[in-house]
Amino acid sequence: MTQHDGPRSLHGDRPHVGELPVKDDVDRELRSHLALRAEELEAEGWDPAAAKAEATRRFGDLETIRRDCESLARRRDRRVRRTHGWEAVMQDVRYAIRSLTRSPGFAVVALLTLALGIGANTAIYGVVHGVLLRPLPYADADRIVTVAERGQRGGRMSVAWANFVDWNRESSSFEALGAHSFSTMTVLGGQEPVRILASGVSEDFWRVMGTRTAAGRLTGPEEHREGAAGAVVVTRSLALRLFGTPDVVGRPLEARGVPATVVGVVPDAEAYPAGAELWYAIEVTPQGDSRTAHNWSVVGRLAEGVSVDRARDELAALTERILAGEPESDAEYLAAGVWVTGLRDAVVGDARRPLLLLLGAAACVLLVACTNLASTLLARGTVRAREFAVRSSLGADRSRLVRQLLTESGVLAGAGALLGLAFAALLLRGIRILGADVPRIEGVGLSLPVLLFTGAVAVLTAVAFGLLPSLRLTDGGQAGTLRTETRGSSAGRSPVWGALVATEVALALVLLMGSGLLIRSFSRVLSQDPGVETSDVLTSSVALNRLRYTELQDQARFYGELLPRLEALPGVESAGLMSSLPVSGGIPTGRVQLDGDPSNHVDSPAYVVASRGAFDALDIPLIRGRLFDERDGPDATHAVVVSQSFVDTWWPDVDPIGRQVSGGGMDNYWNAEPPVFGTVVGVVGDVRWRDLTSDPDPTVYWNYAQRPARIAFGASLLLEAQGDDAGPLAGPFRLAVSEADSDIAVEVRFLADQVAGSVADRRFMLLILGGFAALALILAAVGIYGVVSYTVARRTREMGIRLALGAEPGDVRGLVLRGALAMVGVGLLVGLVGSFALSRVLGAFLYDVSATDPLTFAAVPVVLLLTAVAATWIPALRSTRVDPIETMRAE
Amino acid sequence: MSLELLKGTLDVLVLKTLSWGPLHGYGVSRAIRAATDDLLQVEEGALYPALRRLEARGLVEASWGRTDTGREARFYTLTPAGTEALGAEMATWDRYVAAMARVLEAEGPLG
Repeated sequence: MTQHDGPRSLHGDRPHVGELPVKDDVDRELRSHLALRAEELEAEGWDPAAAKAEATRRFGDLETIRRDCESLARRRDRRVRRTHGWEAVMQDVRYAIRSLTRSPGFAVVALLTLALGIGANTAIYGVVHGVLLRPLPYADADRIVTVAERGQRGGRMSVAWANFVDWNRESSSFEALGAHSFSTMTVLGGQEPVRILASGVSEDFWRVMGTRTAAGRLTGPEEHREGAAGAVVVTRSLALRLFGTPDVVGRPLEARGVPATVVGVVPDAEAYPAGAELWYAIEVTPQGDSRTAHNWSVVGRLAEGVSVDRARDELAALTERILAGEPESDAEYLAAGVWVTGLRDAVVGDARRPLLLLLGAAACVLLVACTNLASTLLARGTVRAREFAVRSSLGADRSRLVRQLLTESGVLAGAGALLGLAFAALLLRGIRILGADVPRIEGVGLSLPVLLFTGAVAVLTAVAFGLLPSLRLTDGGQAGTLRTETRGSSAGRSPVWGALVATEVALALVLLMGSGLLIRSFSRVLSQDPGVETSDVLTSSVALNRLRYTELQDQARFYGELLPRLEALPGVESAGLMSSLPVSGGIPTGRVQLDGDPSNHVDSPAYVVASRGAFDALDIPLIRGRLFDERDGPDATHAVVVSQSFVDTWWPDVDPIGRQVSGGGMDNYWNAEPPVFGTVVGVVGDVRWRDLTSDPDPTVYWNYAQRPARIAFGASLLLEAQGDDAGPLAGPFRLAVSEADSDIAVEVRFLADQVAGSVADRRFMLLILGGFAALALILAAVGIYGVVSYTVARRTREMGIRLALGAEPGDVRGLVLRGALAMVGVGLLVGLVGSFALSRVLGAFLYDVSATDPLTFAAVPVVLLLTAVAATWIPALRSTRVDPIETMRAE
Repeated sequence: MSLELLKGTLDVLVLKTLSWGPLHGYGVSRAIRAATDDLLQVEEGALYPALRRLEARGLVEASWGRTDTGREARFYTLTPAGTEALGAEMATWDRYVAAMARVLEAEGPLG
């Protein structure tokens, strides 16, 4: 306040400007003037009373002047307060920066710690916001629901067309109901054939989703009727890929073998289902009246004021009524009820739990970081206690010192948050790649709400790690510091230190335990044999233009000619065709009749159509009999190969070779009258079709040359390399297929990626949680090292005395180690209890590993303990390198 | 004879007066009177809103002190910003006077 000191510091009793209330300040000044004026007039010879009157007269309008002065003085006060507040903050900030640059080591470690902690939280919150919280891109999306049938065993089933039609006609809960499918198809007519995900939609689908077009229009009623000319809606990016321009309305193309005209373009963001790039009207082809063929997904827009529950109740009652008249024999294929789910839950429901778990883990990392910093600041603060004691005795009050210390934390947290944003941006880039399978991951980034979150976290962090040290340091008890500070030998053993170290250790243990369990689980998953050899295999999804291959046998003939050509390519070991890929998430299944006996049918083995080469390419072992060969021509009896588990399940005690099966899957032989039988010619090893953690489905393989209907919907070519490296074959593979038919869109992939993709979500979680655990371990080690070093430094004198009195260095080291490990031990115990408590949460993410897996629970604490010992060892060693005389003199 | 004070010139007079050293309000009014031989008629009270306004603009600073006769008074000091403002005002004033003088002392139509 020196800038306000008077021009002549005469007396101590005058008030400071700004201390007086404005009213008094002005009043005093005006009265002072009148008194001085009267004094001068008296000196000129006026008598006192007249002088007073004359002074007032000459002054003018006293009241107006007083009011003007008061209002001007108030304005000044406000201005001064504002600048003072700001100046004080800036002064604190400058002071904080100076004091941080004076200990750059501490500043760097603290900044990194904070950047990692805040960055991890920012990144995960970025994902949580982008995936779970960000509004869906559909108009009024809160009213959109998905509707599915509930199977007899409770699972979700797609909806039968006839049920959809009845719901649409009779329910009153919905403003609109729409059906849609989702399938891969080849689109021709553009610059080159492309294979895309497409959706057939019913008339009201667009009303449900509230879709807006970027150009043209959506399909209308005239296109949603039987026999109408083909009309399609495409995304902007498909328009660009096909025609190189978004201006495509009116252009002809050919989708799934049907000529069509583009009538509209929609923005990519509004695509539903996610990934679909083209939509066509499903009513063009008759959908029949089956209530057992579950082919459709259904979305609905709830009518104003209708709840999800009410819609569910209405549809359930409706479904029960319309299914009442269905034949008993179909009962097990009919809906037992309905599922109605909010669209957001349907889209991201599965991602919620893992993401929230990761957010919790990130919060743990930040807590470890805060604990770490709190203990370091406390240690530093004890060193600085003298500085604060001096400032305190010079008149700085406690709140001032607390504010100063909190400003230091704030500066650290602010800078840490900025660095953390850079770290988060890096992390998010990795996450978008790793988590490519997480729904809506593409929209994840450092958006404004995420930045606000980071700001809030930075503030909380600053308070969390700054408050405890600043309160303790400015504690009245520290007033004695000036006298005793350097003598304190017990500071390092105070309960606060122990609690901080124990907290760090406990949090780190919980995170390590979690990632330990995930690692164990992941290795169990990977150790599951898919039943095929994928490492040297390339694959491409293919489909033939049905306009040009009108007969199924034409398709079989085409592949019959293509496969030998592929096999003849240099470097190719074998080539094959298969209707499904292993580990691809799902597999068509169908009822099979055994030995021509209608009463002897089995549910529901997998139904696969394959060429002989497919077994070779995938190294599916032949166990008995033979594979398909040239004897199995189109006119011969259908040959069937079954899997070992099929035999184990239905023919455990009989020789399967030569037995007969019929039925199988949804093709033109499925319900043939009389049934078309196949004869079992061989038994092969089991394949996991769904994922590595699902048991292999019992499987029936049919020969594509005899039963090609399934491959008309699309199939996968498989190409096995002679060596281990299939990469160089990709080019010749693509070329050979295009040469055979330029209408085929070839996109060659490594089959191994299919397996990797099937565990992508597990790997995603493992890598992130594992990363966080590693981070926590490092931070905890740094924290323990810091606290122990500090303790040792503080107790140098004590160590010196002990050594001087004849203690062995080993004893002294032991003393330090024991002290530190006691704190670590408490942390480990707490962490173990916490891990047990949290095991239920993690259990859902584990495969074939108990959430309280003894191995993990034994090994992880040991790892942490060893880390702690290592972190303690260096400072402990230092404690015995003490020269007793030197240290005692130093004090 | 006495002159009406031109509008807005009181602030300059106050700043100029304070440029010789810190003064209380009464001292300022006395100094102006003395310097102008009472030619300028300033209602004494009008000085105080001017002082407060200058203080609010950060051109002067105030503190309580005592006069030589032991009376309590509010003393004003020019701030660096005040010194700067005074310089600017004086330059403006000089140009104004010069311009007026050219017109008033011209012996025929200008230009």
